[in-house]
Amino acid sequence: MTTTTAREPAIRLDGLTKRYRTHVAVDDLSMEVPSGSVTGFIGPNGAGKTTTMAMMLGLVQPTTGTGRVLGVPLDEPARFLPRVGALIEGPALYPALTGRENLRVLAELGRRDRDGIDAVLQRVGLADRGDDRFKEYSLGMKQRLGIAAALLADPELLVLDEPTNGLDPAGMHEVRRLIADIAAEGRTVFVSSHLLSEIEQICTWLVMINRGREIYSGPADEFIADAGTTISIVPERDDDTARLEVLLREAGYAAERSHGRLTVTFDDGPSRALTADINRRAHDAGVVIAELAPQRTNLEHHYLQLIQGVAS
Amino acid sequence: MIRVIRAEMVKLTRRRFMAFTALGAVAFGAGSAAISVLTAESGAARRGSELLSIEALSTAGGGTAAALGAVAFGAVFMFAAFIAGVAGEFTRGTFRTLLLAQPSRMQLLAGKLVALIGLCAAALAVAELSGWGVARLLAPGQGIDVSQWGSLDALAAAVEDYGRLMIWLVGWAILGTAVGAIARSVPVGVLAGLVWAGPVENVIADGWEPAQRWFPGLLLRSLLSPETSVVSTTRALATLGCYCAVAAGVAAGVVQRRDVAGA
Repeated sequence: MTTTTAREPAIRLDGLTKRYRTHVAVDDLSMEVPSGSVTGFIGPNGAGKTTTMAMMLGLVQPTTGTGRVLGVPLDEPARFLPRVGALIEGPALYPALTGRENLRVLAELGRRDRDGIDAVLQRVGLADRGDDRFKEYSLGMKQRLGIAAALLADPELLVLDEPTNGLDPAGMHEVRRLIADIAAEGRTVFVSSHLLSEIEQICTWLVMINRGREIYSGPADEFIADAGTTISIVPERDDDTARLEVLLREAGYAAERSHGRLTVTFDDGPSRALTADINRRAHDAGVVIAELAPQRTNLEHHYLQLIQGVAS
Repeated sequence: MIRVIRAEMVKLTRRRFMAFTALGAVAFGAGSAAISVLTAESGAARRGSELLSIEALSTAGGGTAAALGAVAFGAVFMFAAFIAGVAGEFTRGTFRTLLLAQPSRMQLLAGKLVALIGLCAAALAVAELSGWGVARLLAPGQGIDVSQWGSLDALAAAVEDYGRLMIWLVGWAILGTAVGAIARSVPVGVLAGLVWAGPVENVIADGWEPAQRWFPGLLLRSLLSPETSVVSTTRALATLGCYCAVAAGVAAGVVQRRDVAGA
């Protein structure tokens, strides 16, 4: 595997637009995906994620706009596609062929080493099902074979379009773990989802779009911090809840009591020091804390606020 | 393009698929030859008719002609196979998967066409051989003289017949590929193709004689039965060459320009 220079973004789009008669699928979209990042491409259904990815890969002709993938202009896909692995709009492979035969077709096309087929099947956990026909696979297995097909090229950049779509929680977990493993090898991963919560845990960078336009682009940590996070506190004794609320408010914390628990909201996310300070104040006041847990519910709320902000 | 052909061969040379295709070719060749021999009548063949005369079948080329004449009826299957083969890549979404591994759309289309023609050429050779065998068995019972069927002249006639069959195959392949690329849907493409090549061309030809000179399906059929055709082989080839050039150009244009994903 070769890599691009550290400064050069893996993907850069400048004013990309795709118009279908009266419908604008992607509207003047500009964004960057840092090299070596795991970038989550988030947006509701119909936001233009798949169309953007398809334009990036030379499958769809942009109406206007330009861009570069791995430093190569978008209109020269033959130059960058050999270094890219992609799964777009779900795994589209031959139903009557086995998993291994499907990969052989793609290996022949891309002039890949046939020995790599066993390695990628092993990688995605299909080594013992490689000789079964694709049509006999479960949805999760089909997704994994699609990812195996994308990995055949030993890509610098892996583009995955909703790889967890339709999967059960166990399947989602498997795919997430696979993506994290792939990213750990230093490859850039660009993965889309309509659910932030599905991929937020593995992303280092986020690009969010709605109605074909960018609404957020930046480090995932910053987005999480901007969202403001809360911690939930449950004292050992119920009658301590009200006393602790007063105590924390007097100390300047945004504490709220509800159903026997306290919720404290932090604008910049809770730091270890602030969490420890709350624990110490409770201890000094003779309140024993039975539960002190960070909550991430605000993340999805913040994301929805962004989308609704654009919509309105 | 070699890579595309090799990739297509992975699909086409699967044992199950090969066995099914070979069985179909043998059955079709044998059945076609049997029909030709069993329906042969004495006297000169009528122009425009596919029925062969006993006299024609008694010549050196009678053995392969028996299979060839009836193979023409398989044109609709051949046409449908090429339409489905190309349109299916779009219907299933596999064309975009292939494009990610091989970005040249023209090479993908041309490689697929060449590989499918290769498979069909092999299947037709099997059909012709099995047809010759069945015709050889049935012919004496119909009063057909088979004494010349094993001669050098018979071999030369078989080579010529096979050559005509290849031109016929390439013609249907190019037209089928164009319909498949334009329709991008198996049911729509196959239905449109079969309605045109089946009832429409033949019904119009029944009442309008120039149809034999102008309709592509009828011109391709005329290549397989030149002795009964109302149009010369030279003229048929020239007209078909124009149709195929236009079809190839249209197919190349739509495949090159159209988006293959997203909406």
